[in-house]
Amino acid sequence: LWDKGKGEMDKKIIVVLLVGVLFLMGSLVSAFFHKDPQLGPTEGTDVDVTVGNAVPTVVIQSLTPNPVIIASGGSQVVTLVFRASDNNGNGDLDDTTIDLDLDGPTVDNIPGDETDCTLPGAVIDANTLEYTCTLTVQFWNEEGTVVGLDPWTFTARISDSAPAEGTDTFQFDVQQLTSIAIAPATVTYPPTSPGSQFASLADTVVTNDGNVDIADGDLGLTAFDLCDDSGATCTGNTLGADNFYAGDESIVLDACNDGGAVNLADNSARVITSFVLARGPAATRNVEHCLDVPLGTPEDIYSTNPAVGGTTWTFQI
Amino acid sequence: MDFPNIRLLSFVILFVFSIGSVFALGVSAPFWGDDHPLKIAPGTTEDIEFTLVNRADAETEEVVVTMLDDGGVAEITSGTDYTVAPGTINTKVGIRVTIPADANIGDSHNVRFLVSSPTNEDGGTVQIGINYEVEFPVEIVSESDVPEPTEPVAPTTTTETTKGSSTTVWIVVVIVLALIVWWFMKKKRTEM
Repeated sequence: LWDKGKGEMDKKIIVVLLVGVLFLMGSLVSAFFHKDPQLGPTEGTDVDVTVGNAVPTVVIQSLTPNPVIIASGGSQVVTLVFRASDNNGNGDLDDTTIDLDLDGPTVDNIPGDETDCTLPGAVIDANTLEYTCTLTVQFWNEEGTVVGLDPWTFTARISDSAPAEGTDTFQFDVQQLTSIAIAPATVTYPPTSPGSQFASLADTVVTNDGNVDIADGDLGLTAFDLCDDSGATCTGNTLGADNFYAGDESIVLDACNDGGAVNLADNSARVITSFVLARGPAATRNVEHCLDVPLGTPEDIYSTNPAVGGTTWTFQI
Repeated sequence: MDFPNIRLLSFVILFVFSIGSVFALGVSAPFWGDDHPLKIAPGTTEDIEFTLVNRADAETEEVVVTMLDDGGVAEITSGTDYTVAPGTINTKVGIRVTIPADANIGDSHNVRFLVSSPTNEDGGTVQIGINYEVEFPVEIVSESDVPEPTEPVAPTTTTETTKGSSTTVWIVVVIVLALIVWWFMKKKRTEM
């Protein structure tokens, strides 16, 4: 009897425990997966349902190209894709509040808004829209990388009708661009005579086409002796590179060696002193040239043209 | 026409042909200076790319790239001669960096290469080209300090996914309870 009674008792306990466990687990699962929708009865028999505003969430999908590489003196269109979700439905998202920013490591900022995006956003699901936008990075915008701990940052923001704002950020690279352009790519002198000094007919205009500041001491010019036009090799008369001078535009060349113009030398890089050219749009500066023709120079046509055995001079950074 | 006038005519022709030409060249670098080194672990090899670029309004440039100092770890893998068309950013200089397995963490190597482009101009007295001496440090770090490529975060789960997870949990709960009941029933039968 005792065993039978004990067995009946066990069954009752098991049933009670099972019901208890089931209830407890159900409550826990319900509490965990279902947020309080803030529904609640009000006075009397009327039932008012208040659905709270859900803050939008933004998730950046892609930024291309990354890293950003820009042609000399050019620009690069960057395509930005982000998704915005609102649990009140994607209709609650307000396109006109789209706010975009590409922020450089220190100073540069490229702002954007909904006019830079394709509207309306593509529907991903009932709560989510995907926006594709474009902004342009210019050649003079500063360099910065994630590895260098000075990345560029892309920020996307959008608000809903409340308004409540969602935002996301993403770090990316803009490569360093070292680039100059020179015009003209030749230096031309008028017909000269021994014992006189001549300025070139035109300065060399140097343009900073990159995002690196050119500081004093950065720009050099390597010269080579000039050859006459007697053949394809430089075996005839020559005009030494050390008869030439070059200087920053701030130097007044009353005479070839005036005001700090540098005396060039054969196959040797010489710094153009005082030449400074910060990055930026339309950043140009002139280099002046001068030729001091020594007495005793034979009458001839001299040049650095490789066709007569000459060697091209080079500006270098 | 006497001799000096021929010289003067030649000069005028050369001058006219040399006016207005723009010569441009640039190098886009993923690594530069002490603050932007290539970080690489011992026993690994990495291929990196520098990009030769040009202005949209310039001539096509012929470029020669030569290694000045390989730092004992680098080699140019894409050859020496390149053609850079106006406005392009797709001319790549490939460099392979190989670090031996027994390299010391904390060591640094400097790699230098020359990007050189003589001008195509043949007028004027002096033709001028552009050279860049490109330099970047290679820093040997532990594997955990090698930076990962950056990618945007994947989209978060949606409401649909949450509902799915909830249903799954309920199914698991029912199965567990059924197993408990079955186990007790079996135990009782065994005792009887």
